[in-house]
Amino acid sequence: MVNSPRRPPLRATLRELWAYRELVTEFTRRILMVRYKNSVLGLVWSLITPLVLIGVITLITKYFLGQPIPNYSAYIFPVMFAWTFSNNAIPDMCISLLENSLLIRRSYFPRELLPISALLAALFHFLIGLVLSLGYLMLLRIFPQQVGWSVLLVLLIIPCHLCLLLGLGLITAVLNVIYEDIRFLVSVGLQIMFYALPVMYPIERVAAVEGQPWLLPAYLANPFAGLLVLYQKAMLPPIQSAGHPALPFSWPLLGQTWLVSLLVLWFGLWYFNRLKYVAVERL
Amino acid sequence: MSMPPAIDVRNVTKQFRVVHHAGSLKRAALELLRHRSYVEQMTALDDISFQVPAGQSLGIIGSNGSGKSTLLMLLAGIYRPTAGEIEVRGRVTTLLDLFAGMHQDLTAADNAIVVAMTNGLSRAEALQRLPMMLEFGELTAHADQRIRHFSAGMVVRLGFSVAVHCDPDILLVDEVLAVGDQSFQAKCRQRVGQLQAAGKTIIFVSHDLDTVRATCQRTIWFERSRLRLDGPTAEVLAAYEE
Repeated sequence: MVNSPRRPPLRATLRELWAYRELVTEFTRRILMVRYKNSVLGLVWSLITPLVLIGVITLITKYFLGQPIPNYSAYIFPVMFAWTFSNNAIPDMCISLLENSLLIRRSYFPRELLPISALLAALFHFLIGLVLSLGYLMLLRIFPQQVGWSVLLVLLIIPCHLCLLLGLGLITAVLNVIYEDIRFLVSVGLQIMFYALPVMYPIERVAAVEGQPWLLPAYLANPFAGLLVLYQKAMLPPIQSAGHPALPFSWPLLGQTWLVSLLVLWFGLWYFNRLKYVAVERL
Repeated sequence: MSMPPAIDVRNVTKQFRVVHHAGSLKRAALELLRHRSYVEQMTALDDISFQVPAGQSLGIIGSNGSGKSTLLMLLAGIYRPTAGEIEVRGRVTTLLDLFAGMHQDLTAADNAIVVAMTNGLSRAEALQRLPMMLEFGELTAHADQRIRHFSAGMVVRLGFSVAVHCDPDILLVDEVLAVGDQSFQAKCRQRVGQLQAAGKTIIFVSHDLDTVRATCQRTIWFERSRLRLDGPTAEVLAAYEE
């Protein structure tokens, strides 16, 4: 091993990450073990928040917000878990370097492993949420009666979601070591973004706004909104709402969201690789 | 025919940016506005060169702030030098702080596995050595307890046991050889002796001159970020103690 002032090229870093894949699994296990160290209900706790939110939002939309939509809780189910995934993964990745400063200052391993394993631990919960969602859809006789194989489209959406989150997680993790107030910005940003996502209302409401043709494309340019719409359209039957015809699953939207996510991921990897040694010295 | 050295340090300089206040965006914005920086360069190591042949035990002494610990961080690959180059041949294991990066809420066994894996062992190797690690640290009966409930001495014993059983080619040790009670210290010295006999390279940073004298053939004395003296332990310690 040669240690010199030269920054390792990104390609070498990626190869090294692959070589350390076993340690990623171990770190992920460690996060999950620590989280569930001595709670009897364990996993159930991580599902309670989204489940309660789903209940509350269903009630709100049913009784307070305009015309009720049949089975709206089914529409919220998968998106709520997808949103909770983003909402947990980004802050967890953001603090991952700071939280593990002792481990970092003790031995060398690629620092990217810490945000990556924080992401994988959050993914674990999301996958459980997805299975729950599918169960709920079966209970309502939506799956497989009304929605069939299109459910498999989530296999194209989840990797895109992971790329986007990892990119943002890498950027915020390394910045949070240098400026510790980044994590507050992150949490405020996520709270605000919740209102710009189709959770409290279906995307058709946005499409139905008249005289603002720029609104829908601008709304969907936010990859988080794009992802939620994609999840909904893959897992759920067309929705009847607000006088606007139901939007179909959109391949261009999938392409566009992939493109943005890959750009964010590439920038995140590059930026992290550039600043990681500076960050380690500040720990 | 000569073996390449285990460690080759070539003209290494390390500077740190010292930030005078905790970093915050407000601070950064103010600095930008005032065209003034609260950041200052501090030289921790100044043009250091030396080589360590494989199998040698090298002691590093000097007062606080002379650059000893920074050197270990560079050898471990945790920091990058500002100038110069360090070449390390072989697997490196570190024993840089007492808690060894262990997590309070994990059991002794789980901690040992994670730490061993960050030291370059595969999971299978770590699992295979786990019984030895626990036995050496006299912690077999506590394997499944969270280390939150351990005494400081137990944690230190665990950290040391894991490090010496990671099968390092090069062991970097900062000041922690003197751990635990008398009998465990004797065991540590014995284990270090075994590693030396097996041809391992040991870099040992310490203020404890007696241990340096007992362990290391050669010693380097750092003073104010520079290499003051490099030679056989007896000579360097004699000069240092004057």
